[in-house]
Amino acid sequence: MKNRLKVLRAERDWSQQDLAERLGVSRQSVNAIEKGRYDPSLPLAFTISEVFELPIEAIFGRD
Amino acid sequence: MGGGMMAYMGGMLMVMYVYNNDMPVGALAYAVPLLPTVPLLAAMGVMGRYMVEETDEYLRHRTSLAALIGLGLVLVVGTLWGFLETFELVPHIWAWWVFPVWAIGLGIGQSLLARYDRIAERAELQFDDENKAAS
Repeated sequence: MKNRLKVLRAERDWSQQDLAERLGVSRQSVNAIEKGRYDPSLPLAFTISEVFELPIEAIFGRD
Repeated sequence: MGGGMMAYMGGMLMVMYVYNNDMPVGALAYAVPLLPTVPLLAAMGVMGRYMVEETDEYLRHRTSLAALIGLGLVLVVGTLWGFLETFELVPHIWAWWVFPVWAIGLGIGQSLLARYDRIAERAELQFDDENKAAS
């Protein structure tokens, strides 16, 4: 699954650590999701959506 | 987990010493050999508790992968050794070896996955630094 985390993060000038703190997860988690090495669970995807104030489909998409 | 393994090794040495010097009888003959299993079972319990209590789903996923790598190592070593033993090419080994081999596989898996994460993070930090320098 591809995602726009890096772009959205850059637009807000957030580091991976900043985003990790907002999501309540580790920096490794953010890195793994951002790089497409790990697909988040639905609850975490909803949390990401809330943090960026965007619908899930605006953040994640099929490869 | 490390403390558990140390207690396990200590327990094993103690049980071997007891059996070599004075063979216990009755219920003690069963209780003494089971002594080293206490820290092992405790270590398994700690591992299970960690998996339940870890709130970071990626770290939990990574630990699950490492545990599967450990299980894979047990299956590979057990299968190869079992067939070699059937044809009397290697000596017989007792079944308790599965936990140490699994723990070694878990350790190898954790370190490989953590190393992979560190490489990915380093690349990301370098990318961020280059972006900041360019802007």
